[in-house]
Amino acid sequence: MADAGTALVLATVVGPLAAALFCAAWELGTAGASERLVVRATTGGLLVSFLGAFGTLVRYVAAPVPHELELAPWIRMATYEVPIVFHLDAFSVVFSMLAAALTLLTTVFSATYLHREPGFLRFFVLLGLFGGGVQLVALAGALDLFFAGWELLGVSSALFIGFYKDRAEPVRSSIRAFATYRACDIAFFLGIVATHESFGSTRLSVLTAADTLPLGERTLLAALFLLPALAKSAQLPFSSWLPRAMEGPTPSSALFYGSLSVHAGLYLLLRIHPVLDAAPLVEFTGVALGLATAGYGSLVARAQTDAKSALAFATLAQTGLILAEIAAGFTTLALIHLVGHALLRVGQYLRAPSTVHDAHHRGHAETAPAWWELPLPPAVRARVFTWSLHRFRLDEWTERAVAPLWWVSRVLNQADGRLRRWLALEGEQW
Amino acid sequence: MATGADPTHPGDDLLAWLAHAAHVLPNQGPIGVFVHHNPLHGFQHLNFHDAAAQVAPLRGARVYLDEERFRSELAAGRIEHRDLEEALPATPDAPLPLGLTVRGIRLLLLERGLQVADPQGLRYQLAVGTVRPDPARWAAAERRLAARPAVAPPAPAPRRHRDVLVLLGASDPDVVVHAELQRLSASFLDEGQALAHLPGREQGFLSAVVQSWLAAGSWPRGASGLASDLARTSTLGAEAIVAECLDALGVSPELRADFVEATLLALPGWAGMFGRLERNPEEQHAPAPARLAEFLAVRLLLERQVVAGACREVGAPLDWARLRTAPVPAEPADPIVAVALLDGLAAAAGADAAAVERLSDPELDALFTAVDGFPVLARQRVFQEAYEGWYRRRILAGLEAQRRSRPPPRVARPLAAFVFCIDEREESIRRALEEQDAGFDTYGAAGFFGVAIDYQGLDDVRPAAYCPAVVVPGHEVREEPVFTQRTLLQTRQRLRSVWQRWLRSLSGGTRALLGGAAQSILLGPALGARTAGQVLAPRRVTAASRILWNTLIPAPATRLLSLRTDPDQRTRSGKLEGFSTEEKVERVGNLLVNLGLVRAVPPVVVVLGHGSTSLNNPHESAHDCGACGGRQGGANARLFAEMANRPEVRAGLRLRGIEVPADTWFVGALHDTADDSIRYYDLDRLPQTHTAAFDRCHAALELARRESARERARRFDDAPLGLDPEQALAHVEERAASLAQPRPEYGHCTNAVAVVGRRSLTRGLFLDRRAFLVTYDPTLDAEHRVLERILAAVGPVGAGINLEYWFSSVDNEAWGCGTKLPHNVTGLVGVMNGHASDLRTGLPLQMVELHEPMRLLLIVEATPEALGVVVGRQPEVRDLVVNEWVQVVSVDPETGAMAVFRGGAFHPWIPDEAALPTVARSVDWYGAHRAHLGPALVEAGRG
Repeated sequence: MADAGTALVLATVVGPLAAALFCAAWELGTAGASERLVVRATTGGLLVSFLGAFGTLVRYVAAPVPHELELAPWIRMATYEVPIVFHLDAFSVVFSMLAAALTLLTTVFSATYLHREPGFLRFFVLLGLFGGGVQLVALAGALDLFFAGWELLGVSSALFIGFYKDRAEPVRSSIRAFATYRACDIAFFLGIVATHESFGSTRLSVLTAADTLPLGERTLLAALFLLPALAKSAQLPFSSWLPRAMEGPTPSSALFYGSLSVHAGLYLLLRIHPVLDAAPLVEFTGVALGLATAGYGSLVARAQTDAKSALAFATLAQTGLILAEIAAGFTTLALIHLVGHALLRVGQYLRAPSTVHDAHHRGHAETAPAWWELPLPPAVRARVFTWSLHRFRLDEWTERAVAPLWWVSRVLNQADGRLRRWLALEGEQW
Repeated sequence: MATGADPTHPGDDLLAWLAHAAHVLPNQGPIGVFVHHNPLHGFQHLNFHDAAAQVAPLRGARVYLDEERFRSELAAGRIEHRDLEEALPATPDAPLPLGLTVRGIRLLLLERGLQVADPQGLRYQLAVGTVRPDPARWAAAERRLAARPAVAPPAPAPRRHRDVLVLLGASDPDVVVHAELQRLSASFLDEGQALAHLPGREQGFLSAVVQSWLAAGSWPRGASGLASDLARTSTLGAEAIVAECLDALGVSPELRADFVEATLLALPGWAGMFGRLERNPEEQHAPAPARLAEFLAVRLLLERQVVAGACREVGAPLDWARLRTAPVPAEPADPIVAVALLDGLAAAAGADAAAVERLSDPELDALFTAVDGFPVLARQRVFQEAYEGWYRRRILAGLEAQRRSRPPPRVARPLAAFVFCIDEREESIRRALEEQDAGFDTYGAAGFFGVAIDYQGLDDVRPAAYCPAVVVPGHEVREEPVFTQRTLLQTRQRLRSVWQRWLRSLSGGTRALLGGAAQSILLGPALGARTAGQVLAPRRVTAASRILWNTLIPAPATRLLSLRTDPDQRTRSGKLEGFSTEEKVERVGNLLVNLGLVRAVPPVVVVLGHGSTSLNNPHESAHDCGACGGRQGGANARLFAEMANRPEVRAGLRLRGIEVPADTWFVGALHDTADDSIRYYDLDRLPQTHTAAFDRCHAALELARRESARERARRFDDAPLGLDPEQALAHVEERAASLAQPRPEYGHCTNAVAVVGRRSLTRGLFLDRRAFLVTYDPTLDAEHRVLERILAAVGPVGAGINLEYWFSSVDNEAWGCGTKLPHNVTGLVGVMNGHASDLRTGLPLQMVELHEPMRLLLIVEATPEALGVVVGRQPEVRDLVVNEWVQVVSVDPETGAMAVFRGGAFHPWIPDEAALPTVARSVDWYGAHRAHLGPALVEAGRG
């Protein structure tokens, strides 16, 4: 029983990663991997993952008891363990199923869409890495393992944004997303260390004891988890990377910023919910930021004239609501909302190039229906519109906020140069 | 204070500058209706190569394929040495050192590419040994050149502040300016994508933007100084603001024209769209009067602030007169370039190290002067002529071989005639029909079939022009339900409007807070399942949803409202309602005479317009019929057939001497070039006497569209070779139905030739879907009036398509819109890259990837004298022909003798005497190949 279950879960996680490694190795080891081979390997790996997730779901529905599947201890010391363990409950099997289905669908789509595009192999290797990463996130039973998947997700997302690496704008946007992720992942990392410190383990199952910690500690812990979740799900004040992420090929935008990546932060909060539940201040912050993001997203979405930005902000509006739901304790509602939202958006993003065709089909509505107008006096409406059009200049505020960091890095760089010269190493190859 | 050459009328100068700039700005309208045009249309009064050389530096773009590509074509045999020899103009042949000649050096530069573009790369190759010159000679060249200073190619002169500031290390002002300007422009011109628009846009761009900035007090980074600027200038017009900004930026009067042009070219897509909509306001559906001057004013208001900031950042003067001459850091020249060149020349001349050492300074000068006298554009031009020459030889040899083996003309009445658009995509289906039966004749006419109309279909909100873009129709035609089904129309309209409202609310609702939540939870899974269906089984899902749609929202049988009885009856838009009988006779008669379809008219004539349907493709309209103004030509074909079938029209034709037998029936139809489907019109009117004859045509077309699909499929890398016709049809249907397909069809990608003449000139010749085929019978055209009519329509349309493809394929990033994959539709007017970029105009990479850029080879069955007469009468055709934007070949209608137009005159042409391959059927020739194919004789199709 346990063995079949473990095999299924392993297949779910390893399938996509193995496909990615296979394609990369084939490319490096031979004259080059053909499109056909790459597609077959990646689709195969993701199909294995899909079947594994489906099997896991079926088994879980047959016997819906949350449980852990322990594969192996990775590190174990006296009071300290880093196990390779999966955690199966309603949340994980559903999210895993969703992720496997959408990743497979996107792969099938991309096989046609990316045909003859330079970077074909790169795209599919990234898809494999992403597919494995997201399954690790979905199924991990301990935060260390979760973090591994989380990082795979982050790196592959950033590389997808910068897919067109020869143009400046995608690279700038890619760095923006990557920097946001990394900055907030420091908090995640500290949170994991603190969890080890407090519970001796990072198993999700031990987090239920969060309410035994002193209030200050559990508030800090919850805040450390909230921060990376905000970044990954592009909640305020970190929202500015999401609209800028629409730089890669359309299916990558659909998969990451419409359906999976953008929900990963919310899923993290669902996973560590006992900690959140024990920290009312953080919960309150979550609700406030979620609602703020929702309001921000829906206002800005109204003014955006391009298909992908409008979708990005509409996505923000919903993820903001889901965050508020989670923080307010409605976790089941949040899960349903999350799954439905991912399924809704993936199609909308994939169809974004049909905008002209669809507008014709729907009949050109040159002016929006009256009920879209905000019930405000015209002068205020004009002001709100302008702010919305410019996205409340969040992008520029973000740049201003990190400007000191640029300064610090410049100073450090100069200091480094001086140090090298002082050590008489200048001129050596670095 | 200087405000331009004429301080009292700053607007006049500005108008002149804007008109000047308009020539180099893209001239593409909103993307929903895509009409191919020559991107250098404003330069057609110049010789093609001169125009190209003039525009290349302005746009910073390539105008020919790069030399690497040409050299690989040379290696592949696509250009032969004799083509280069022919294309290379004669040069004074004074002897040069090392036994070289100027001509010899030019050939060396072409064939061997002795100029090094990437010095670092060469150093690397030398280091790893992939390039191995003779060491002694190389060392000699190095020593010989050591004393000569290396000369770097001159950097292009800066044209605006940003060009200098970036080199000085300031942050790029365009990043801030463009981000702001793109959002504002899109919101202003948006035709309905956003739910809210720039308030007050009815008052124009400048006023709306200024009001919006002031209302919100929201400034882009580094432009907060705008607040005080606007307080001062808010009452001024665009012209005065431009003048003031130019003053503030220190642009002296004589530099202003150039400065304004460069400033607009910094964001060519949006600037071009403002200019286009200003000239063609009828193309715009948003209530926003576009003026290029206002766009420029807003841009300069922003730029003045941001540029001032960038100047402060690096301590540079804001005054353009001083800044443009500021010294900037330049890349030092690399001496290895000259060494490699000298070594290469010496190697080619068979000279050794000692000979190189012996070269005197004047000798070296002579060599380098000879090299410098043949710069890159001149080399590309020669390559281009050779590239075209190779293809011209093949095609003309093919025509000649076909002429020699031509069977005697048939006298019996044919079984049926099929009239297609001249489009080169119809060449294959025409051949497929002719291969089935010698009694099938095919004809080619510009796809609006001589009826220029404003047409309003059953579901259209408003009429639109169905004719070439240069024509303004005077007549309007509507589609109306038949009398007995009028109530069905009302039902349909009600259901449609409910459905559309519902769709609009849903799609808008997903952007709203609660609507989005409700839809996620309630509809999310169902929509996800639909997406999965569309991706996994596109053909079935599309077919099923079409059936569902037709069942739920039934369509009534319809007729075209085409007859006008009262001579002055006008429609609401002021156009003449339909056509009077005389007008019909004239139009039908003209087309039949154009085609030469006046003798032995067969019992069935099928007239096929064309269009293209595909999903997830912002450039869908670019595949439609150019002769119908970027729309689907079904209405024109239907209308033509309807008119030609009227007894009173037949009677009128008889009076004009055109005898169409009473037992002839015309059928209108629409050929979809993406999924190769054919839709017929008004078959309920087909006389019972004609059912058998029509059934035969129908069966032939069913077969032909499958054959055509098969011939198309060979070009798609992702379709296996050797499909049977049924599989090929399924394949192209899947392409058209798939959301994931960036190449539903290859469009005009293979266009290269246009043949104007009788079909007997080309019948039985495999032309690989590369030839526009215009049927023209010179024996019926003593006055050359028909030829004039045809060339006046076909010349600009054909050259427009051909040159649009040319430029989009030689530099896809500059003239085209790059790869489709990150495209993002904005404002329903165009696409941009990713989340923010300029509006991208031209064709995407996927549409041009197979294209061989060559000027259209226009082969006309008319004597040089006749062509001379026609060209003299039509100024636009004259520009195209005399300035060599097309290559013209005359084929004598009687003798078949050919003459090529070059350098202002026709020169007799003796075709190569190559035996043409002969195959039984087309598929035997193309079956196992993917690449472009040369002509071949197809036995079955010879008629």
